[in-house]
Amino acid sequence: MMKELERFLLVLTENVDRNARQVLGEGNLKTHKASIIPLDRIPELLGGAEKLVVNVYMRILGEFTGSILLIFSKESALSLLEFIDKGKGRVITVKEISEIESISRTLAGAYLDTIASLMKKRIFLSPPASSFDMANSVVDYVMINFAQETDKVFCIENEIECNEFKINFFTFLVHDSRSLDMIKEAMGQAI
Amino acid sequence: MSKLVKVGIADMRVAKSPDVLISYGLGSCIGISLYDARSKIGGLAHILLPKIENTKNKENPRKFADSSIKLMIKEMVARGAERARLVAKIAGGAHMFSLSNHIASYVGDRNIEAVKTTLRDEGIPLIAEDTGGNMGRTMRLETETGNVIIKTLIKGDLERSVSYLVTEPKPSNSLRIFSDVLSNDVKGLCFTRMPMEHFSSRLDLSKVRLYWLSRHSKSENSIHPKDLPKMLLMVKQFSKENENGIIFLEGIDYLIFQNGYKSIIKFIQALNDQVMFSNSRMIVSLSEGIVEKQELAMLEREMKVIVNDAVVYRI
Repeated sequence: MMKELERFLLVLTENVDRNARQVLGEGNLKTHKASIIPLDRIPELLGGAEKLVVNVYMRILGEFTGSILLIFSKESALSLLEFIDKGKGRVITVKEISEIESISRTLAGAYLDTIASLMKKRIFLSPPASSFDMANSVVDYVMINFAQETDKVFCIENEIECNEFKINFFTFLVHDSRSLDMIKEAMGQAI
Repeated sequence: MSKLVKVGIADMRVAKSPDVLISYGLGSCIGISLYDARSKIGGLAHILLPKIENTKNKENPRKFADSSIKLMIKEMVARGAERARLVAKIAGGAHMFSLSNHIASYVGDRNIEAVKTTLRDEGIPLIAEDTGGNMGRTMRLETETGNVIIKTLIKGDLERSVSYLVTEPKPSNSLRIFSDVLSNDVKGLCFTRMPMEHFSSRLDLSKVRLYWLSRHSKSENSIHPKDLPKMLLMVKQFSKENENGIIFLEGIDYLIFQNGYKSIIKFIQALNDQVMFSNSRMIVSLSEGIVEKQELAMLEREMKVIVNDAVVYRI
């Protein structure tokens, strides 16, 4: 089972960079490290349970279902706002959160296109919802939704690189049990 | 020496004085503390879902409100606590995202309800709660005193109708937070002893009415330190005119020197009353060591305390 999931992750990250290039314009999206991790390791990866993070959450709907979370540290979120020319400060207001939601939806779209073509399924994203708070409060939200279906998530470390900007963020893909079977089937055929 | 006992997600721990139980970053989950003041035995649970009976996977009873509370009572009694003396405090159950039609958008409320029902069924009085809202909370139970301390992070704005106390050597952290709140399209009213020039590089002065505390200045932007009723009236007026304002009070040591200690404590309390009945918030910057321990404790009971980038308060 793990073999199929790891293969899925590998193919996903190989292709997502190309799709992201089309949506980012002059910036490059690099995927540095991809792994399958237990849900409760997320806060540690983000820098600790009380680390302040911006989390943009979207549901994957259609023939393949799950959720996608893009998580930025406060510092990365501020760099992202500067990168898209939407502010240069130290405070993230409601208006700025909405800008981050918007670019996150674009970035998530690159993942979605890749998944759709890999799985040969018709899928789409829900409107984004966001929170700006402690890393652990993000995890308990994910656990409430998915703890009965899975205790693991796909974790991808990303970097947007453009001129002097280097913006790091995490993408977490959470699948439900039906989608897990689909991945297994699709990757099993590919191996 | 006290030991810090961490309580993870879907976990429950029991400890005895002087140990401290802590659960980090409660979102929609609930933190439940039970405490017996005589034996100084406490328990803390971090529950994820309302009821064990509604689920297929019953492997971890610490995950659910009902089963976790029952288990906690059992463990506390086994360690020497008296069941009849147990009291409960709860925190969490926030709406972290504004999503409709999604399980976690209402599970926080269902968790709160399940916790209250179980406590009622078990005959344990709920003596304090800090639930709902949209912020993550760290919950800490000190078994020596039974105090439950909540910590939330400052994200640029401050909760309305609340006063905040910042004890600091110089008014730098408080001024930074005041400035951050102003950047959310908020108007400010500031009473200070610092020279006006100090603010020009730190604040958007178009958003702030600044008044300098001075006995001698005749400027329209100055106010006599003994004119406490006028300041109180200005705060009242400002809160009325600005639905969403912030008040910053600095120079407490100077005000104490001019008015005496007790008058200023009463003055801060009166300002706090004004804020509580309005939509404004207030930051009071206090120099370290200027107020006696007993009075500081009293102010801390009335106001929320800011430590670095977090708000800390007792429930």
